[in-house]
Amino acid sequence: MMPLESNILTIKGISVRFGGLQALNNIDIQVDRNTVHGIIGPNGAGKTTLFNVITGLIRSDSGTISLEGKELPYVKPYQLVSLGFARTFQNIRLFKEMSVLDNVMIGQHIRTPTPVFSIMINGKKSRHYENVAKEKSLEALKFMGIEKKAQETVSNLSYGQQKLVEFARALAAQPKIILLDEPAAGMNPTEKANLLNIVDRLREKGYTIILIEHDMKLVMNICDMISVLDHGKVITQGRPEEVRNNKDVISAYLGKGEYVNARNKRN
Amino acid sequence: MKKNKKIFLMIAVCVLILTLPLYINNLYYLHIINLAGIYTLVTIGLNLLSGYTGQTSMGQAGFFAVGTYVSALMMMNFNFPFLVAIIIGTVATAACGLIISIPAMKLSGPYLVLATVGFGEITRLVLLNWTPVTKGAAGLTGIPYPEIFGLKITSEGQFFYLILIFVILGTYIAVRLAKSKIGRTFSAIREDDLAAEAMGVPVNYYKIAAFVISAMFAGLAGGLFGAFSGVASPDNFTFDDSVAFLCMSVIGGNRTILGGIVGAFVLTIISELLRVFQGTRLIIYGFILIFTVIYMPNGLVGIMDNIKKNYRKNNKINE
Repeated sequence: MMPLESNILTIKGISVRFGGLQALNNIDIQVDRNTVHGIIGPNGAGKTTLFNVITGLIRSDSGTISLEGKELPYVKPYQLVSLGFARTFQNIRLFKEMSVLDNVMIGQHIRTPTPVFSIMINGKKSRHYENVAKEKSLEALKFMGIEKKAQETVSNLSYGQQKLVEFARALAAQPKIILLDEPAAGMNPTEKANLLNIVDRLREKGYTIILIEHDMKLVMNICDMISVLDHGKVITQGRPEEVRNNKDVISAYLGKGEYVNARNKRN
Repeated sequence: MKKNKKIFLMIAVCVLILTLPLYINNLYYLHIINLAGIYTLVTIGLNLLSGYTGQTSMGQAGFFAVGTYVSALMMMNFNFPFLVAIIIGTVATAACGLIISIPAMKLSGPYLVLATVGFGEITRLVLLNWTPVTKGAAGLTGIPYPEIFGLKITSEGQFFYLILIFVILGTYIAVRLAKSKIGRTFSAIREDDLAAEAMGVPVNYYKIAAFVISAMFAGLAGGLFGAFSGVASPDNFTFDDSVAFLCMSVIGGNRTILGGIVGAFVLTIISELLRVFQGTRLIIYGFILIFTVIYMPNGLVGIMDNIKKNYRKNNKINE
């Protein structure tokens, strides 16, 4: 196992309440640099809510999030992107009527300036920045292996390919941390293997990845660390093999009675 | 070879447009063309707002009115030269766009449409009731002819060239914006504003920018309209006119700048043909609009594109 590195993201005491529902209750999670960190848990455990808090779409009632030791101020979601976060969505949220390349170039939005006057006269500056953005976006598409689809309209692509486009869009934002919300959902085994490979290569390149996933085989294969959420609480954290055998995790997924049955069977 | 053909065709079209006043002897036809040219500016701006950014506005007549009145009053009351007056008119309209965009930012869909309808009506009522300045229902009369660098523009033919210059300028800027990063960002906001925000787009600023840009186009068109027609009254800027602008944009095709130009010309001409059926005009508009939305969502320009694509496909098969 790789040694523990300095952590990049620290989530401390995050709580969110929707009316009568305590969606997140005092969440503490530390994510290490250059690792793949899985967040798992049954439906309704608060995983996506946690993602929304990290990316600023939902404001937490209490708690802090620090990036590289610095506490994040409460800013608009788009400002968090420039600090180094990029995400994908559980249900694909692409710009459907636009081309694949244009979609990914939106990811480059904050990385290139917008020279308004130069744009109006088609000046050198605007063309230069546009070319830079295009290059970077094609690079991201190439990384995902779908650069041939660059000119196609997104809605003509298959579900699995659309997921990759969304992934490429996040990558084009040049983030430090990529948050993937159920990246493998709806993918066939070949596509899943490809995804595994992409995540591996990204980790090698030094990215930190946080992912929510229901496919346990994939999670156990891919993740360095796993946090398990249930009813808005972190019930356990650890390496995949530790989490797999944790009795709280089994009972959260299968119910208490089932856990007893499962243990009895094993004995 | 193919490229040469294209360039030749473009030059031919340019020459045709430039010499239009020479062989259209009927001043009435020229008047309609000039009017359509002015409306083109409004529609182009509206396309950037509703077609690209997805913020439907039914209050463009309000912006158009502000542009007309402010620039006309600048010329009449302060004797400002024409060009300065329309610049002031455009800036004033931009300010209105900014004001309306702030509440509009928080609204979407039908609520946004209602807010813009409200803006249009408020503008009209202010024009109607602020009698000391706007002369109320009688409106402004005797708006002076534009004078540019000592050249006084009075005839339909001269107006044709003046309007043509502004339409070319406006189209060029609009196309540049649409094809640039800004246009792409506008489209992304239309498709999914939450995803755009999550990818680092300051969505609210862009929505404001879209409103201000479309207001400026309408304001510029208003400035030209006042000088062109010489008179302006609140009756020129009713809700019906806002609907007509939206129809032009949708029927021409609101996701391209060309669509705005086509829509403005087609609908201006149709509405002149329908002058005989005064009362039923809006009903016919309504039918055309419904037909467009269902059968040609990309407007007339979309149909032209399809024909072009099919033609190319057939050629390929024949080869």
